[in-house]
Amino acid sequence: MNNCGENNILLFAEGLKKSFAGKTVLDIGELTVRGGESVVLSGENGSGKTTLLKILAGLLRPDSARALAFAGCERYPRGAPHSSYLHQSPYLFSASVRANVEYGLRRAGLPGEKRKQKAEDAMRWAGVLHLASARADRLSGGEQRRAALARIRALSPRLCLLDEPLAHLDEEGIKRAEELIPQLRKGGCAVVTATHKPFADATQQWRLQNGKLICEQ
Amino acid sequence: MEAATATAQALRLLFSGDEELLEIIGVSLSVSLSALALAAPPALFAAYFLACRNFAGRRALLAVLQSLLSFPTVAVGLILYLLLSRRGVLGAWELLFTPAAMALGQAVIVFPILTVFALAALQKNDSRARETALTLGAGSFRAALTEIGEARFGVIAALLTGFGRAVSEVGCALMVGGNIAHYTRNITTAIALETGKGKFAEGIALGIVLVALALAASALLSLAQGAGRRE
Ligand SMILES: Nc1ncnc2c1ncn2[C@@H]1O[C@H](COP(=O)(O)OP(=O)(O)OP(=O)(O)O)[C@@H](O)[C@H]1O
Ligand SMILES: [Mg+2]
Repeated sequence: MNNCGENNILLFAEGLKKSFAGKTVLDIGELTVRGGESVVLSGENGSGKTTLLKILAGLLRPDSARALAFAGCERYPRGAPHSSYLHQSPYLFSASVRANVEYGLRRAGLPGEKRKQKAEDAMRWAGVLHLASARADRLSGGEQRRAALARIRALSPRLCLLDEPLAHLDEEGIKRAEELIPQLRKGGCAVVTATHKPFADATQQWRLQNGKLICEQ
Repeated sequence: MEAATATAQALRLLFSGDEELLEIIGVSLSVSLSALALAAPPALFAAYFLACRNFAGRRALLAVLQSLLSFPTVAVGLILYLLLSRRGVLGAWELLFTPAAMALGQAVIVFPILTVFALAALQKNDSRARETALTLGAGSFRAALTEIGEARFGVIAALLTGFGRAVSEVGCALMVGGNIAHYTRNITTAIALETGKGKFAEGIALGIVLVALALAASALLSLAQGAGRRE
């Protein structure tokens, strides 16, 4: 695992298995994500996309894994924004949009002025700056998703796991979300997106079928 | 007739700001608020643990907490008395008949109330709240604080319920406080013991204050619950 850094491998997993109530949902041989990559994850409803992303985000424990390493760390790193997961329907804290966007920046220990600036930039980018002081959990579905995208963008995590980020978005919103991916990649981050809509510039296509992951470069 | 004059005298006492009365009210407030401050942090974390962890004995623990909700306060007082008395296990602390002992007793009394009510509030939380906090770089402790924050109206309701119970209990305050004038005499022990000695007006005045405190707590409670529902 020590050469991970050299190969720019952000995420490596081998022999991932997960089942719910005796039903195998995931039985994955191997997967690798390198910095700067954009991976598209597709599969039918219920094929395990959300389950896989949550495992990769360290939010869900696989039943077994021969290897699951993040940037060479065998133990999944916590406490710093190494990776960020965007829920299929995002959760906004019951606070203002600004407080939501600043949440991760606070955890990263960013000082006040810088934090404010970054949050403002991200909100402007996502088109929710005019909602900065509105209660985030009372926004419309699309507005919430934009706010959640701003929250991730402000943080620029090394690995972004986006679960169907385009759902509920209008055209402008889809444009913003689609812009997010190349922008994050430019900074050396990798993005894994679960989506039913194919991306033009994806570096890998993953397809989940009967628990198996079919990878195409 | 006598009741009417006593009540009139009670109101006069209240509005003239009688020093002794104020002192007694002060003891009640400081003891019960200290009890709340003492019990709240462990109770909130116990509630958090019960809400998000599934461990062996969880159900049994819940049943015990539930039954402790109606544990007689005088029994808490009795147990604490035995522990704090000179030959008791905690006798070295020399706390018997002090406001600290009263606060300790009330903390024990309100702990299960705070835990059970806060647990009910936390269980209504969305599991995505914790996941979102973790994925934005929060550690486990910060994620717990965030979850408690998300359930804030329920937590405030728990605190108000606990305060109402603490300020109005008499059994434990009497047992470990001892109703010592200018020291551990609070509203409830004063009413219970001083009225019988002929201090009718004082008793009625303190009764009015106690009822007002309880009403204020429950008014705030329904305000918090209303705000929580509007979430
Ligand atoms: N916590 C759980 N308990 C039991 N079963 C679960 C749980 N989470 C997921 N499943 C099951 O695992 C399977 C995969 O679910 P998952 O949410 O990962 O699918 P998905 O590919 O994201 O679907 P969609 O396209 O609808 O979002 C489903 O059959 C689901 O019922
Ligand atoms: Mg899904």
